[in-house]
Amino acid sequence: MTGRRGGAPPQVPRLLAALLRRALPARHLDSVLGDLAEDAGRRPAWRRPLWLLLQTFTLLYWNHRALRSRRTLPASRTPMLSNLLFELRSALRSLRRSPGFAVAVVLTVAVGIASTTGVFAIVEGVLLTPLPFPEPERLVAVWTESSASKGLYEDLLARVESVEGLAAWSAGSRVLNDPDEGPRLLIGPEVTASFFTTLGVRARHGRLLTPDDSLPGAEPVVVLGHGLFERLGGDPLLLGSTLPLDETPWRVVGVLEPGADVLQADAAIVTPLSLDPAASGYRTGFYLNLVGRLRPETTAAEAAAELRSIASSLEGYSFSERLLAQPLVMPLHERLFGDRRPLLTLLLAAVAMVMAIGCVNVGSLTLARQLARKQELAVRTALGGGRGRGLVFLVSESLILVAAGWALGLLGAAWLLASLRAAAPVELPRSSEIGLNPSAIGLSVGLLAVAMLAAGVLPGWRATRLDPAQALRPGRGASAGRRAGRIGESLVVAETALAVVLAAAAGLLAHSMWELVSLDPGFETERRLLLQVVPPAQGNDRPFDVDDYYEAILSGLEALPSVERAGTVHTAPVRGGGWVMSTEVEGVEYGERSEQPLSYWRVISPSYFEALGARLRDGRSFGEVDVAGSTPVAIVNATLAAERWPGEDPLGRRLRIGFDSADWLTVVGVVEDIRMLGPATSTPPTVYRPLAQGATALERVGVTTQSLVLLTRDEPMAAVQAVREAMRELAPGAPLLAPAPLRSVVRDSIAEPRVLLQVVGLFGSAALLLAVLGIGGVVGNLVRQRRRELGIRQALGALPAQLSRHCLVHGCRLGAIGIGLGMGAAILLAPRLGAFLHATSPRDPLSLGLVALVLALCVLLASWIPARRATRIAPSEALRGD
Amino acid sequence: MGRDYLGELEQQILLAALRLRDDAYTVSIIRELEARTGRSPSHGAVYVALRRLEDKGMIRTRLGEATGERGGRPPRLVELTPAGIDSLRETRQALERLWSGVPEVAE
Repeated sequence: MTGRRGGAPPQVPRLLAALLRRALPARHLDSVLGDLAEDAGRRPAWRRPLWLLLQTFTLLYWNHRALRSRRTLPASRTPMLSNLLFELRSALRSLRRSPGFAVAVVLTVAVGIASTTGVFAIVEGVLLTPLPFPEPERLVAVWTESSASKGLYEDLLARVESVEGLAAWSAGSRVLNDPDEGPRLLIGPEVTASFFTTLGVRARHGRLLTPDDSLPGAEPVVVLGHGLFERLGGDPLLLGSTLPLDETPWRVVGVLEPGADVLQADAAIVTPLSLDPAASGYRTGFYLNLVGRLRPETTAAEAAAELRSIASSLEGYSFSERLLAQPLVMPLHERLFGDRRPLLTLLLAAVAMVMAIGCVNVGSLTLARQLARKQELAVRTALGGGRGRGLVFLVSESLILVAAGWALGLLGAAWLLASLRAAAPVELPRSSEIGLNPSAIGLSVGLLAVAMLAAGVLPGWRATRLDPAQALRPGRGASAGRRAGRIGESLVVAETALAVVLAAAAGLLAHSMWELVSLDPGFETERRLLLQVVPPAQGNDRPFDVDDYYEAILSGLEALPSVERAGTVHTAPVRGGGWVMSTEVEGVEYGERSEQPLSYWRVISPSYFEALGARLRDGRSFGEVDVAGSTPVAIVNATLAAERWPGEDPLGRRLRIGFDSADWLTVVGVVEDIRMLGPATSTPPTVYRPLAQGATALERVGVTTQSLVLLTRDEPMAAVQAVREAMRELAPGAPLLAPAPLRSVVRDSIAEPRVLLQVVGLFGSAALLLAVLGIGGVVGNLVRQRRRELGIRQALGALPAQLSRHCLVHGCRLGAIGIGLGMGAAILLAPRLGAFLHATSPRDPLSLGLVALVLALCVLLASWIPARRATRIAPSEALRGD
Repeated sequence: MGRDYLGELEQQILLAALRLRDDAYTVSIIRELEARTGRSPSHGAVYVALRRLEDKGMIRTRLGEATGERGGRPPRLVELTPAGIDSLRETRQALERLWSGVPEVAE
């Protein structure tokens, strides 16, 4: 026996071994199990379970065929399996007679499996699949409370020991001046040379970047992403040629491998990050992301501790001491996708509940059906059929249905994922990698087993525990029937409780959504068009006057018949982001500069507030008088005014923003809060500066991109064509990005909570529906089981109304217990939902109360319909024997 | 007995067992068939065929040595009986007689 590998042998799972033990003669069993174990050892570990399952079933199948062909009676140990096929056939026949039951079970299981498997595949693809780099677990993101500056990066790089290959990158983009298609924005990070080696990204053609490319005065070089390379013709001769980016020729030195991930989504190019200590912002521009590899045997916490001690010894960072005090080291994967974790976990919890409710429902459906067949079962038992045989008889039906539901559910999950990939409703990173993978299918097999247990085996086991003598006695149901009824009732209570939890979550999310929708954004959304202008970067020899450039654009656009008013801002409202500046208020003593309060800083054209429809609360807007040489002025938002000068008049007060200007800025106006970071975030203190005065600060750090807000005469999108044509004259070579009605920008900003609400609401309604069906079923069973009793009561003079009330009370009691338990659980679990709620307490009594009320009405309805039947029982019929 | 020709899988299993000499048991037979014929019969098919061959008296089986790789379970080693070898030979001759009447297609 040669050529075998060492290592512990895989064991045949106990369940499969038990199946084989029942089917095979004892003298063969050991060697067959050994064969399976040995052969399984040859296969990759992840395939073993499925392979073993398959081999076991083929063994059972062949063995069964061989036995039958020999026309011998089954040996005493074999009846369960050899008769399974017979039972399955008869089960199929009986299911054909009750298609409603079959469809209900199949659909319930299919919905449960499809949603659970689908959501799990998403969670797996996004959260659990490692990054596509070698040794991804060692990759860490390093950052401070904000990002790092170039100076800080080089200081850390020179000192850090626990992290290898510390690399810096910054999200970026450049304008490609395509002679055929006009200017086009190419997305791509700026990186240090070590970036590629640290991540393990390789070149398909040519070379990647070297440290020399980052030196001051180096020739501008660019590495193309494989997609762009293909679009440009895919000819390796492209290497060495130049590409006109930002009106400068950039030499193409290399092409990335297809599918290479450079951390910025949709990256088409990678350019070197210049590290010139003489350049402005070298120490003060905090916008770099750092990534590195932990040295072997080093933890992220150790690396963070080392960086902290380095940071505390660094000099020359007085401005950001506070930020530097807490360098953080986190696995890169966590840094990139960690914020998606709560959302995905919530979805997974929600679908798991739907699945659980589905199982419970199928379980109680089959239990009822099995009890209805107890007489048949009792006859079998009385004639000597063992309990196992009886179990097979009972479960074969549900096994068929659950297996069919599983297959349908897998198809549904595959379809769900395919449509999700086509149009991701919520922006999910790496959504292209999501698919039905082995572990998702494995999970669905596990769920299949659970569903089979819940739907068939457990109720069946219960139902076979009845005494034939009792069951066969005509008339009165056996005590076992009542016991099984109690199981059915507790199942219904459980599913009502689960439905309450889901419905409560949906209710809270709906309340939160309502709060979001009814928020005042602080500006008008109708007839407003938002777009971005990206002027091509100019050479250093040609200074770029941001103020003049946009002045010309604004007056040109306002001359268009379709545009009423046009304004600019360097960071668009709602789309978020922005520059936080430490702000000094006149008359307040600050010990350290780092004690100064922070505020957002926005440079706007005088027309901006009018174009946006923002409301000035006090003072004046910027105007013709606010030019470069005149008194430096500022407008503050209501939050800043209330925080800095509570109860006082802010007009005429002065504040200073070191980044902007060394002079004091006089407050000339107060504007109502404009939601800048999306409607879910409260507005931070903000200082607005006129373009004519603030432009120099923007020019100093090379920011020329501005967002335009246009007040249009008609539908905003109708103006886009005219604006585009005008801009070709007004701003040649500058691509216009993402023109969109402000209305839809605001709506998109709450797309995620909306989708979450829709999904949880859908799950909640499904759960509610299932629970209602469950309660209806239990009450229906009650009526069926007690027909005789009800009939006798009626014969003795009980009024129909009393009878139906009796049944109604029974259903409502179950519902009330379920609702009570569910509310308790919801109140316990609700704080976990807190992160998704806006202006809504997780224990919001209004939402929870409404949910309880709706549930109670549903329970009442679900019990009332079958309870009415109790009144229609004719005593003569009910008293006749079964 | 002589009229009982062998099925295709049975023939292949017997030939594989002959080639494997002292190391013929389910897993090694499956591997041999995989290597020589490219088909990979399931454990079930091989198990049942072996049982049938044993019932027909064409093979004898005995338990081999248990190894750690098999979880300490012994393999059932297969050895052809003279009847098995005769049967293989007869089947082959019968096939050859049939083939000899068939012109060109053969090669």
